[in-house]
Amino acid sequence: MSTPVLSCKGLCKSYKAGTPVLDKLDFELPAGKVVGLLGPNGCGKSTLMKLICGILVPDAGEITVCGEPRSEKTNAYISYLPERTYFNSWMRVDELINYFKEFYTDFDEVLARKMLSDLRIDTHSKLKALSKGTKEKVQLVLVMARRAKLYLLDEPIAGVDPAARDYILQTIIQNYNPDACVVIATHLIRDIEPTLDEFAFLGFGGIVMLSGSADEVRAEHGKSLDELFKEVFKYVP
Amino acid sequence: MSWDFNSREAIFVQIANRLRCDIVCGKYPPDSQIPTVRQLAENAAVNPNTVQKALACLEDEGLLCAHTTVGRFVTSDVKLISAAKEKMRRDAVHRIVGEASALGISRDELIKYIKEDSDV
Amino acid sequence: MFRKLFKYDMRYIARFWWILALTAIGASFMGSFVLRYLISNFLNSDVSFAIKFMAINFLAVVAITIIAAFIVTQIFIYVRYYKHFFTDEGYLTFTLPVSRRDLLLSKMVNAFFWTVASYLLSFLCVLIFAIFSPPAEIGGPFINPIVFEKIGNAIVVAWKESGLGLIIFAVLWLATQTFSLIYSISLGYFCIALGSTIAKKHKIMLAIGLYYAISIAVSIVKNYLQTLFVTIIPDGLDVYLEGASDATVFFAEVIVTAIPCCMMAALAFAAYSATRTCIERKLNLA
Repeated sequence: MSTPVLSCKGLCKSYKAGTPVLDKLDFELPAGKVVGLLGPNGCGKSTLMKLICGILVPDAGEITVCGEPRSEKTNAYISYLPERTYFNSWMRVDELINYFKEFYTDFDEVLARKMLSDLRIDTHSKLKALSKGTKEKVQLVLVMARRAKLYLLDEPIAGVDPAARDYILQTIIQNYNPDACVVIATHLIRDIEPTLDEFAFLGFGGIVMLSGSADEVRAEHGKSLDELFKEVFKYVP
Repeated sequence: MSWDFNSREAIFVQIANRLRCDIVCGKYPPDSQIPTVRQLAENAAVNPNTVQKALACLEDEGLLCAHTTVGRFVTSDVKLISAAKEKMRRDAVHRIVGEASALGISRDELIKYIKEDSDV
Repeated sequence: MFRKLFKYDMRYIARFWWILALTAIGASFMGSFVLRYLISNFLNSDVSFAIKFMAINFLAVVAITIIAAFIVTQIFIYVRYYKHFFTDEGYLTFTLPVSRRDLLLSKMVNAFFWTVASYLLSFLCVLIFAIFSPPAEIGGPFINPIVFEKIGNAIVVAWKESGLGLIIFAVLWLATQTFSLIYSISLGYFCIALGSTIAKKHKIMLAIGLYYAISIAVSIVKNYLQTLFVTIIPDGLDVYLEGASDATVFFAEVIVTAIPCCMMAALAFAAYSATRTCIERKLNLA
């Protein structure tokens, strides 16, 4: 069995003393899978991704990426798409492409330019002149144009129009690489469900309430993932 | 453009059904090559592993043969294909009869309605 | 990787700095000729008061331009630091395959470079005034050689008097200034980092408040120590060294000058280490 792309042991993180967002989380992710990290807002999906990228420092526990302990070196294996736009305002799209090319050896410029032209985005435009939705598309293109080992996508389709949504899901499928693992954190389950191999429902405290193969959900529970989610995380008035 | 999937059956089962239909109806004739896993996955907007499972099902049924380097081909066993087609037809009719009896339509009434129906 | 980081940090400031520099230099040239005119005609009653007044205002504007060039550079340095680390841009910054140590070091060297460049620019502007503004009656027709003569003489005299000492004290002075600059940049960076880590709102206000609080505290301690080392001890030393050889006196003078330098070095090290700790261990972006 090859080394898992990601392995977390005993991961703990809390923002306020006493209320842990993640409580001794243990799991492993193998290569070649698209995993859905599904859960209500505030359950720790984003926190988990930030911990893996090194934006947050865990209170306890270990994170191992491709067999190496988490460090700035492992950042080279990870392609992270945060929920918010992280661009500075003074660059042009062209310059941002060069920026990515310089810092990430696995960045595929040809693919990036192709995707940008598919989405009809002018690479000469200044980032600050773009609309919010367009900025998100640019960000997604740059993240997906990397041949990384681990993709962490935090709500990749939430802020874009339905046509772009289809394009994004298609891109995720097209760039499928049996050596890489794609983790998608979202609450738009119905759209994402067909692209998933496996899923995990994350409850409050980062507790994995349910996980398994996305396909077998219907056989086991008799309902789609979306419907199962609604059942598990039902709000009782 | 993604295919429409219902929420009752597993997606790979639904893909397998659709491909089986394509084979028995002649969209993919015997001995012809079907699209690759990647192409099907992009077409259906579905995870390639899921497509792989669906194709494995059809291989188990004998409708598809995998030639490792080249790709997957429809079997040349015409009898197998017609047997599969026959099964699908009977299943379809069985579903129709089931629906009809749920509405309280007897067999004779059903035959009468079919004869009267001018559409299709 | 560090070189790439550094390149982008430098470019951020370089983009506009050359405009600032050219503006300041151009303004200095214009100002020096205006000053020359003003000096020549100050007591001349043929020239109206209004013109003299305008000339003085123009000179004020030139002075403000030169100072503004410096201030604008500083603002951009700190804004770049803040935005790059402590806002949404941080999501890109801290997911790059570079160590946080290198990220901070690049910012530090960048700030140092452009601050020194700004000082040199200000010095150049003053030099332009010194060279071009003395009117023809006092010096030559265009460039005034007397300024160079005077500076040259002063250096030769100082060299004749102390020789090696001149070099040592010059080096010590340079070292002290360097450490002082590293200290003040680190302090600024530290306060911004601390302000952003502790507070959710009003981070900048907290950072500015911290900066002044720490500066005042450090000033008080520094003044106390300096009074000790620069006033009391040398006085004591003078008594002790009465009749001692020139070499011993010189050695004592070097030590006395070196102590503030070491204090500054310690401060710089402390401030930079504090900033590093803040960014490498404590920083958690929301």
